[in-house]
Amino acid sequence: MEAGRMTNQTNIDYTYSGDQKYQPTADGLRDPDGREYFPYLPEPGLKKALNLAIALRRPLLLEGEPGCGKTRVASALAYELTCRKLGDQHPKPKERTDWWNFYIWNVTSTSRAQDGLYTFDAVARLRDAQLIGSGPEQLKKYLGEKEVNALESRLKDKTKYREFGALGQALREQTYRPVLLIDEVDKADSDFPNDLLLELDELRFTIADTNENIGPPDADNKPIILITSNREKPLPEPFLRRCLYYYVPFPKEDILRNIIEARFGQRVAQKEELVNLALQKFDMVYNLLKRQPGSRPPGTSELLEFLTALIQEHRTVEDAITDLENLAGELPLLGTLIKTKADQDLYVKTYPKNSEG
Amino acid sequence: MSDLILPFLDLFQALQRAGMKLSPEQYDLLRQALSLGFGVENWEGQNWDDLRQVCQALWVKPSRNYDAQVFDRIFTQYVSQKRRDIQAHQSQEEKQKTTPRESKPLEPTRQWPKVPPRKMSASQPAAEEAKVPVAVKTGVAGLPEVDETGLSLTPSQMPLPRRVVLDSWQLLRRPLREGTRNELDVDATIRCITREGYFSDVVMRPIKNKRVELIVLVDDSNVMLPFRPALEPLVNAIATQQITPATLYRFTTYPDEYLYDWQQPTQAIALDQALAKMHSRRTIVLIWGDAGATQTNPPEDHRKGLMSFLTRLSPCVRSLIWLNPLPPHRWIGTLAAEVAYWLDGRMTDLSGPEVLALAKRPATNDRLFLRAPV
Repeated sequence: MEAGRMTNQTNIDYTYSGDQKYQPTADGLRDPDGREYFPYLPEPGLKKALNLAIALRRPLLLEGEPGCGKTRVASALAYELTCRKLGDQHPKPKERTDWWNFYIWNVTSTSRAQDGLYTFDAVARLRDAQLIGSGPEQLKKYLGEKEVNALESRLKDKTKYREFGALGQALREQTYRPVLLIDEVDKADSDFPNDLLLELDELRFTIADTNENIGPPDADNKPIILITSNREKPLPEPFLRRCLYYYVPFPKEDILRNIIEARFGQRVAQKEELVNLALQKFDMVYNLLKRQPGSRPPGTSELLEFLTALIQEHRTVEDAITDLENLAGELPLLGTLIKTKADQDLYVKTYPKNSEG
Repeated sequence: MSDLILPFLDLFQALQRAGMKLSPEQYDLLRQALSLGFGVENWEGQNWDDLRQVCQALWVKPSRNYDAQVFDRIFTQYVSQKRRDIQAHQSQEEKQKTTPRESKPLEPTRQWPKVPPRKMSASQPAAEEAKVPVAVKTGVAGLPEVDETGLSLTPSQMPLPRRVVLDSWQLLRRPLREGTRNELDVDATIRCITREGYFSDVVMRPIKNKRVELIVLVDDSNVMLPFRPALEPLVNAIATQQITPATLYRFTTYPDEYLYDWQQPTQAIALDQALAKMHSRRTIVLIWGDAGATQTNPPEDHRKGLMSFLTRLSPCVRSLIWLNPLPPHRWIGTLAAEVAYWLDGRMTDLSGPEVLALAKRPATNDRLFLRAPV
């Protein structure tokens, strides 16, 4: 059974299709690392840009309004490749070998380029050396023989103290092309993208502490690298030159409808009126905030939250529609779409209670 | 697809001529993409959209040197030119194929759309009667024509040349230890071990980093207009991302509740929001304005407005430099002298050495403190 699930990995087709048969169920699925996978409907331009980047073996830089699905596309790709690896079957949540190698590097404001490659725990090594130096006989008394032996063997092998980051893992020995997501690259220091140039270009690095050389992987095992940015600050040109670039547009209404159908499935069946009204309200909020300086219009993720709040199981469609019609008075519901007090006040002022419709 | 070995080289070169800084490597990417079958979807139907998308993904980036608008313009031009060429080629071929005995006079190869000749019937008013306002370009009455050739500015004559701007930026980007303590301080740890005789714990310190952002506030009131060219090197350095991250804003006379976007001056940004985004340990503000040096008697609200703005700004920034294009002797007796006092001398005119010295001088404890007004 297990052998049957594994297909021959020499000729994997990496083209991302976004087909129905490669979508997880509407309720989502978790991999052994606890990451969630949901159905994802790629925008056609995004699909093309992604396939181009895969074929040319270049990183793809994605920008776009927050909540328009930049980050999700990476997990959608990883999920589709997982299914293909299993011969168009869906993976089991707990079976680690089923899943495609998918690494996420969440960049934060304190991230340094090296963190994504590896960290070397010099402190632990210093502590171990001190412990051994303090007298092995005494140590056995407190730690027990097993622990002391482990400590000794650990101390002899420097590589026990280094740990790979997401990029480092993606460049290590792989039997196929892993997916690497570098999320929100613009959050870090302005030197950060430039510090990654060599690693992104030549896909190799050196660990000075252990004298190890990692990478470059074979041409067939190069990672598929997706980088997202929220345009908080401009990225340096040498970095941009090495990436393909795609601006993810906000989905149009028909795509939004498909997304809703894929994500909610049965739960929105027979509730067409509610979905229509919700989309109409969403559109009002979106257009209102788009014109407002300094405000951020809601994205797809906010729309999905908004709908989740509306179609809770214990509530009737009629109740939800009443709430929607009086959205200005339903601040908790409005709060799923509009996240600041000033913007909520603006909405209430523009569309006061009872005058909506 | 005129040339199969170097496909679309003419397009690539047209984009380069239009100002996109494309390298040969980027052209090679297109060749690779084409050879892998990208960009020619629905090619027979003369559909260029796929090629457009591929070229866009390869060559357009969020940077002025890889601008999407330039790309769109040139690509559209290129496609319409190619379409005309192909059409001309086809109609020629057809002509050669079809009956040569009809020795009609040669029609132009280009197929212009057939538009019926325009009627000028008597019912339409004669041209003289129509009262249509017409804009005519004339010289300014009473002023002599100025020969502009003698007035061109070269970068070396700028009071703040590009080099000074970039050097001061490097000086301003002093590395600073800040944030959580997550770097091992080996020296301090060793000191600790020698002091206590055994290793008890490690000493950590914040990581040193050069995380600095520049905010430039430009006074765009009328009195500042003549000085605008002197700001060009700085604006250029920001536009070409030699200074990054940096944001430019406009204000008029003094910033009140709103700042305005640099590219779209009609777009207001609430001052509260701009301040909230600043980082008190990373943000360096540069203000370009006269600080009232052009008026001997500034209205009281100008003084108050400026003071309250600086008071609100000071806890949000690490350092501030006020660039005043008027020379210091013109500040005396105006609001500018007062502002220079509040800022503890962090106002300078456009002399290169002064600006560099200010950039080098750290604010007290890397914080901006205002002096109390006298």
